[in-house]
Amino acid sequence: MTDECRLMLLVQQGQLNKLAPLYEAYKVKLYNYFLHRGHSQSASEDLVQETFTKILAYRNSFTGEGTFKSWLYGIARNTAIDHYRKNRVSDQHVCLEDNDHQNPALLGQVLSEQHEQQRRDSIFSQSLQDIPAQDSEIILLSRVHQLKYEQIADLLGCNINTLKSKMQTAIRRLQVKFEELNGKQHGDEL
Amino acid sequence: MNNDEIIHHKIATLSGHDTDQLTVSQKQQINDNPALQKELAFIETLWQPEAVSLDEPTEQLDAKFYKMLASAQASPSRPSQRRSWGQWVQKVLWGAPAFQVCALVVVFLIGFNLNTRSSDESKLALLNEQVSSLNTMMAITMLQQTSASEQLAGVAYSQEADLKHERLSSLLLQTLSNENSAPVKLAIINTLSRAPISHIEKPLIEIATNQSSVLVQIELIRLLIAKGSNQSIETLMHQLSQETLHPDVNQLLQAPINKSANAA
Repeated sequence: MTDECRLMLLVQQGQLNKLAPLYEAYKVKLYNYFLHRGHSQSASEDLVQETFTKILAYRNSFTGEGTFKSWLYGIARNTAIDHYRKNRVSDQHVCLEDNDHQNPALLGQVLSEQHEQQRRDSIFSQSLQDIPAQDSEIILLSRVHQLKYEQIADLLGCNINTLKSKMQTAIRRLQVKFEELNGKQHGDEL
Repeated sequence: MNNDEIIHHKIATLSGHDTDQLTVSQKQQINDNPALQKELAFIETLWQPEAVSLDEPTEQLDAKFYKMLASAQASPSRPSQRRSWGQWVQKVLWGAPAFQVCALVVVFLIGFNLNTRSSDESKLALLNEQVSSLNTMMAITMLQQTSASEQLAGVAYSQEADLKHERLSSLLLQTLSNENSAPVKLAIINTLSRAPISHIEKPLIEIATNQSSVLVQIELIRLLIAKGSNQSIETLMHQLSQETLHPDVNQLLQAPINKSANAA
């Protein structure tokens, strides 16, 4: 059993202060999980808060059989879905408007050798926003949140072979979008 | 191994899954296929640490979380929390001799009074009073610990205790002034916001003025503006005007100033 599982079991037994280290370990990743799903910065913070409130409320449903991480992301994912259902006029993609540097047209303005890495980061972020949400979710769950195939498959309710196939498709779409934005930017520079 | 399997292998390797080494013929297969090489190179780039940057949430997220946690810890209705309370009692009884004696005296007094008084109402009132005393002592004991989690527990007990208790309010102010942990300070401010603060406004103004954490300073100012007397608010504004303040604090101060200007 992992340390995280032990901490969560202590929370379950009433030592609520043990939730603090779990929160500290995951707050940034969860915040970015919601951001990458297209929520605004303030909505993403609210969703992190809501996720941990649910963890406290439903702490007795944690069995300790799976990992804490997959249980946490399951709750986070459901929280995001509930939020979307409640707010049909969604706050999604506000972050794109907030961040001018992610606009491909403006990216060219900051182009210089020292900004090359920043430029590539921005194109990656933009590409992730532009591909279908289910594609970016699979990539981010694996790449950023470091969930194993088994955990992601469990979250998405599919088998591992299907997940592998989806992952490959998602990465190909990302690559196409990345090259498209990269090419467009170079075209703008010329 | 076909091209798709090679790509799966690459992703699995980068994701930290156990994979076998590629054979010489598989490596040759990659070398012979420029499109596959390009795809693999892209996947490698995607998995570089700097490829996807993470943004930091604001301090407000911490404030909200620790406020929620302190409230949950203070909630008397949760059965699991009652188990925790019992665990703390057990821990403290073995750890602090002074508390051990006090707790025994309180328990003795509860038992003695319940057996000697006749009226049910007076029994209930006395019981409430004794439980409040016990909570006060638990809060004092926990606040004197060095670990932030134990101090947080002390703050949670203080929410059920008598905040006019001189020793307890003094300890809360001392912790608010000297503790490094912002979550503990924020939990204390949350506790103070639930009770009258007239007897501690003066030290609170001093702590707010000299506070190093911007977030804690903002919450303290909010507390004083919401619950402090007009005189205290004026003193606070005067003292803060002598300091170099963080822009966020300045922005907060504009609201009540404008409000009073409009009222005038």
